[in-house]
Amino acid sequence: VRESRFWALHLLSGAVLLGLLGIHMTIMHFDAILRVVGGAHEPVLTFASVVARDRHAVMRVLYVLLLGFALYHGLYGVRGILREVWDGSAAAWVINAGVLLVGALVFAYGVGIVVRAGRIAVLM
Amino acid sequence: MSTTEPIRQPAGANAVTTQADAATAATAQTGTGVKVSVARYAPDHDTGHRRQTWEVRVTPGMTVLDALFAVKEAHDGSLAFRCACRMGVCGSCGMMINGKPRLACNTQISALGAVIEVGPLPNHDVIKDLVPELTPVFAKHRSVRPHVIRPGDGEVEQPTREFTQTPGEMLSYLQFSYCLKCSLCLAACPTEASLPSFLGPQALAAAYRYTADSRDQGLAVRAAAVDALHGVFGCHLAGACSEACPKGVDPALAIQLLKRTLLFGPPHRTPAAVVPPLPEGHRTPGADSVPKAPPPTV
Repeated sequence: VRESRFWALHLLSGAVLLGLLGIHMTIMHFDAILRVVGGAHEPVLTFASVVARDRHAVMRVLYVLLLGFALYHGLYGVRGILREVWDGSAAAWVINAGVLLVGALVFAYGVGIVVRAGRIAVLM
Repeated sequence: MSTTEPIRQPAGANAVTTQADAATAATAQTGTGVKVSVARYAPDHDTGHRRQTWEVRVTPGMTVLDALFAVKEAHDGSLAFRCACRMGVCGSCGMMINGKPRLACNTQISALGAVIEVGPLPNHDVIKDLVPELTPVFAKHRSVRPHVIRPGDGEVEQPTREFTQTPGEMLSYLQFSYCLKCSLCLAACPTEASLPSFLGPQALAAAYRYTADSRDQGLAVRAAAVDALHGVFGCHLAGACSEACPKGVDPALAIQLLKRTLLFGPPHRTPAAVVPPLPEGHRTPGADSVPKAPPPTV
């Protein structure tokens, strides 16, 4: 795949992250304001609030998207820095493979947690 | 009169000159002396760069290149530097002058301080004194296929007619065709300093110059070299290349335009057409008034 495609996705992920982080910040950190305007009923860190969010399929999808785009955006930057520090085709292969492996593992772990939390929340 | 002092640098390292305090130094006046301090390196006996200083009498219109010639003629004939045209056209005399990459023939002594520090271009290996190794620069230049590419090389190798191009189409790449290949932009580039495999602003601007040419259809071929992390996507957007260019070329702009071209295709959607052949026996109006060339003498 050409580098321009990775770069375009890097820009796209940055733009999407602005929206996703906006939603995350609004829900998790501006909850006091949300309660004033009637958007939330209790503090976000109570057990009931966490279970309610995990039960919501849209929230679970948003979490997975946030994880995926944030991982891609961050790891693309890390890859660029590492490729500049260690030049050469062999180093490029190792760095690309390493970054891909780390990204896949962290993404799988994160998705696994979201899925498990959703299952538990639905059963409660 | 000359003084020599060693500069502690490891062998083979690029030369780094310290910037003269131009703000406090008096501007060189005609008839007065100016100190020319040169970072020297002779590969057969030097392990690193050493700095040698001479005093040169300033003459009207004197350039740094003139001062180096004055040193070479009157003080030290072994001083090595490159030059050819002496008028900012060939790009041979690129060097660091008071901490900035400049053309020596294009830099007036009167615009500098009383002490002029001269060194070889950074980000290049040094052959001797002020002579940088430019072979890797030209290798990078060639790697982007800096020529018009058409499908099937027949018309390019054996042209039979012209390709049409409007003045507007020519303006889209004109400034990038002024590049001298003096390598000042590579000397200024911070990415080039940390990533030697980076193609560099010169080659990337050349790639855009031909990609933006309406006669060219070689984006896919050229993308193999430039659409990479060591190609356009290695650029840190410092813009130092554009500031350093003595011809006013903006390689930083070319790199950004090349990124856009790689994503969305070349600016010209329809390639230049080949001019249709003229009818048999056609004579261009006024062609009869053009005198014939004289017969060859050799």
